[in-house]
Amino acid sequence: MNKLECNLGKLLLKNPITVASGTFGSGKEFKDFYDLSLLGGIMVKGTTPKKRIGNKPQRLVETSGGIINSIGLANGGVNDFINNILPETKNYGTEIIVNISGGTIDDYGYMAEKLSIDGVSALEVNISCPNVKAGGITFGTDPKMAYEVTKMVKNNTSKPIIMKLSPNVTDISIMAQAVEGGGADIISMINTLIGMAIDIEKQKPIINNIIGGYSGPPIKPIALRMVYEVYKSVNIPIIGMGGIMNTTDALEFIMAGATAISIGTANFVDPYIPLNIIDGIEKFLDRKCLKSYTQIIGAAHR
Amino acid sequence: MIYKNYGNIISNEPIIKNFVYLMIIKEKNIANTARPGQFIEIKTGLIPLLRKPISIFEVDKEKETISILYQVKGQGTKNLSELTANEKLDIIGPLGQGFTIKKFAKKCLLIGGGIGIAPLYDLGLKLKEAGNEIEIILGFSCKETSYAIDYFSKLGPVKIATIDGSLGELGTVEVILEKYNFKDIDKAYACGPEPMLKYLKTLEDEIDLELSLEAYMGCGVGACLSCVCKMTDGEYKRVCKEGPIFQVKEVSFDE
Repeated sequence: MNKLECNLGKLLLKNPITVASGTFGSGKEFKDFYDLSLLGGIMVKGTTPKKRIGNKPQRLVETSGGIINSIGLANGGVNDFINNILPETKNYGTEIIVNISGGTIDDYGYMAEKLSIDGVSALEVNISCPNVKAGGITFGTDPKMAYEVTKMVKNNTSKPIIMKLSPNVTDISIMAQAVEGGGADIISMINTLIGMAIDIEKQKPIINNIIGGYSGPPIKPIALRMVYEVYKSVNIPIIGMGGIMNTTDALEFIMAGATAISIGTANFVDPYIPLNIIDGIEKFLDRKCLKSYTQIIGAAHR
Repeated sequence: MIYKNYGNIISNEPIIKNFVYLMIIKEKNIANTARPGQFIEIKTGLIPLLRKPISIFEVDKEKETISILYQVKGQGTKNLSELTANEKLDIIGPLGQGFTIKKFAKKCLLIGGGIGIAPLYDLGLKLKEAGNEIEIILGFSCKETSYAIDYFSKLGPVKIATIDGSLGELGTVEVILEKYNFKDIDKAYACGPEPMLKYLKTLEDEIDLELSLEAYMGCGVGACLSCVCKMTDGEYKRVCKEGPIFQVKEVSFDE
């Protein structure tokens, strides 16, 4: 048996290493670097019911060792995704997980139904985008709304559904239980933390949208703590993410309770980090004489 | 094809200490494939986390080297300035689209402001190779902070403007362009600060102009959608992927 075979219930991955939505485009942008079939899965850039041109620049800034982004879900809309992106991603030889966002609960139902098609391995439901005014974040901070969105998606697709949780809440376990109750198959966490940076020369916020989502190495301890907490409070598998830069970081998330992990900001730093982590986990398993990485999922709880 | 390789630093010399440096890097694949106007992304240290996008100044295919002319602005370029010969440099490139290069019926004009002159030199070399006559207009803040003029003098006649008037004309490249006779020019290329580009936009009906744009980048390969700029049709395009070279008529500088 493959040591890295990853079982997320209804979703099976060849290994637990995926790349996070918004940091990897549709995969096309990274094809020059390596064979995408080496990845466990690709969470493609978020799609919405209609085309969005995104926020006015400046959209991104590095600060305190991480980055703040406020792209504003720029994308061509779900029809553009189905007609122009999906035909290509089908050939990548990896699981294509489509990240969906909406402004209303009905939007999510519409998207889920539209994307219940060949070539889509699972849906990742973004209820936590900090960068769009309507919906987005409120779905991710109110447990009742999160439950409703989950149920709506569940009722409109037979694909595995992954609910992506926001860290910008008082108790993330309550949110996790809410989406589990709504029928989520998997939880992915965490989305970015809301942050800001100020240009002291201009005395103005650097990001045009003022605030944005903070990601990268500084958020790792927070993300790890949240995965640890959620692991104890739900029975569905977790895809852990937040500042993972190397094998050690990835193993920490697995030991905290993540069944799979996602690489985000690190893709900008070095596109080969996901592959280095796959290799690094295999070496760790060999060193510890383990037959499967699943033996260390949640190890820190034992 | 985009490569991620370790280049070997051949030299890294200040042209003006703590301000502008010229680094020569041996990296075969990038040297063999880079076109004028393209850029590379360099990992300059642990911090900054993100790579720094830097224009290619010159390519030497025989020696398999590329060079970069860069200004020390933040931590990343400061880190770069402290590197020495024989150190390894983590580079991704060549990135983006290049300038149009062909034989034009009339002359080509290069317009550079400050460190924006960097991508224009290799362009000038290649335009000259293609049989073009070249004129150059460069703008700096003052004589002490002007640089690389000797390189451009090899390409053709150079006109200079400085903000304080200590070298060439008093003012920005605008003062030269205002009285410039464009009838002998078929094609112009420009790179520089935003006010300069905004001024050039007003000349879009007079000259066929390509601009090299700058933007804050995340990934440099078109994935993160951070470095976008507005087009006249209201759409955004990625500076790192569809750019950094755009036709002046495509871009919009309206707020």
